[in-house]
Amino acid sequence: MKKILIVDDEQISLMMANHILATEYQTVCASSGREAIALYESERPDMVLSDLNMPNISGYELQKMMEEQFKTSIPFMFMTAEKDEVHDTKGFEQGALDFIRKPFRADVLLKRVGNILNTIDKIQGLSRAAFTDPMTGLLNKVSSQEEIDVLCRHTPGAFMMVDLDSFKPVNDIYGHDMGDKILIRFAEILRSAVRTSDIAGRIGGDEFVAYCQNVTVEEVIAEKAKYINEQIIASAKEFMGEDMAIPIGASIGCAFSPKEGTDYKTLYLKADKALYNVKQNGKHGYEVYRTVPDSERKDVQKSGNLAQMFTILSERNPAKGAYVLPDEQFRTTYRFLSRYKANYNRDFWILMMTVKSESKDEAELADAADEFGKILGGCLRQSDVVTKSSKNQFLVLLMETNRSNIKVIIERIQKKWEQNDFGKSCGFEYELDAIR
Amino acid sequence: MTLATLKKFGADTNDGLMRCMNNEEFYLKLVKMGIADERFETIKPLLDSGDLGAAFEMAHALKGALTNLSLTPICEPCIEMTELLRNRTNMDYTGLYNKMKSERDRLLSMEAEE
Repeated sequence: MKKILIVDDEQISLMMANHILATEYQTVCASSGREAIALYESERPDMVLSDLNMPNISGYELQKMMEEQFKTSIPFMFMTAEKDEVHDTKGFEQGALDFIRKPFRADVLLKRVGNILNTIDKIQGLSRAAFTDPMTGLLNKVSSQEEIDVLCRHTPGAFMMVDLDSFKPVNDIYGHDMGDKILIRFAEILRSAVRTSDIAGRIGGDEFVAYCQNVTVEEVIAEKAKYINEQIIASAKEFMGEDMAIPIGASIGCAFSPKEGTDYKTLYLKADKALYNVKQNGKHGYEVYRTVPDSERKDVQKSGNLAQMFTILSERNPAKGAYVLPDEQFRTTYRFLSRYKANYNRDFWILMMTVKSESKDEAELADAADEFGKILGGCLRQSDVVTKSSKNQFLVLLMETNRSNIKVIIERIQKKWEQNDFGKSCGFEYELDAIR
Repeated sequence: MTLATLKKFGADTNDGLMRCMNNEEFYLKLVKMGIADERFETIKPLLDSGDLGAAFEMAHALKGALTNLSLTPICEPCIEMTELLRNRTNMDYTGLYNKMKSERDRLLSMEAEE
């Protein structure tokens, strides 16, 4: 039920207006401007009906004070016994939505208040439509960007890019209605993983962003990633059955503000890099973007402490399977191995694997390639190096082995791929050569 | 206080009742509050001392209450007085005040005779 704050220093007028409006609305009454401000803060009414001529604080002054204090536009309607139209002009200029002259008829007051509340509803509906994603109710791309951009400039926090893993097969296998259900549930999970004071939005098909105020430690991101993954897997099983074989989950790339930036674009780019690494390393997890601080480097250089250097150089929490590297680092590794081979004549091999699909569905191919990358990484040794060189192609550096061993590895990959859902519709080809 | 008494007094009870969503009990409660308003008394020294600004504020508030209740015989002198005070007309307000006060007292007497 809509709530109206009625303000009038004249007791009989106040009681009469309250008696009329209470038949259709929830009402709260104040007999002075000060009392009205206190009541607005605690009750947050949908509109204010105020007498214009009051001692100490007039109706106009009250509107101005409240809007300044609460930093929002408050729908005001004034009651006045004045017949002077100058009052109306001044009131409308200040933002009053309507006037009603005393003494007023009950039916007229109800109709005019009803009109105002309907108009407010329409405006709020339009605002919601303009700022939110209609399917999930989260902020849309533009609003997410704008709101986070404002917030992160002055409030520390964690910027998260959240990507729903393996969403495409849901649409393909179970249909778009199921896909929509998963997206809506995922948005609910994301909303429950952040606080009401945080910002969450949908910026693309299965891409979401969130900004969590005052979250500056990795442990919190780890907890959120765990919670989101557990919840979406449970929801997917609830919707599609316990035997559902789609590896659905969430990958999160995070960048902390102000450490990594104080604007949306900078944080987005860094969180996106972190997200890329999560995707490369098997998805369903998180990574926090870290810039190695110059001070850390200088300290090591100054001290020449090898133990400290090991700390920086060492791989943190090495994952099982092959060493997955971004494209650029893979190239550096290749060049080094090429030099090493030239000097010591060792058996280093490069394997190119390309995922192929008969259908021309690009999105399906991309999802299949992601899945293939996981299988590939799992089938290789820790000493092998892999990178995703294009959307459906992988390069692998294989150390200290020979063609027959490599054939065994490829057969293992083939077997695992055929057991995967994507293996039914997509195949792969490969080329093998020695490092040159 | 009854509707019959108010009608006999000259109040536009249909109008007053309509403002109260035709709730007779509520209307009569407000009428009792209206005629017991202490401003009928406190406005007199303001008029006598020539404090026209303060007297206007009080007359204006009183007029608002009385017109809401449609107590026409009391409203008429109150409205006239309010408009003169709004323009800060420097005059003797005794006649208008007495008219307003005597009408209010007449209604109180009628109520007492019920």
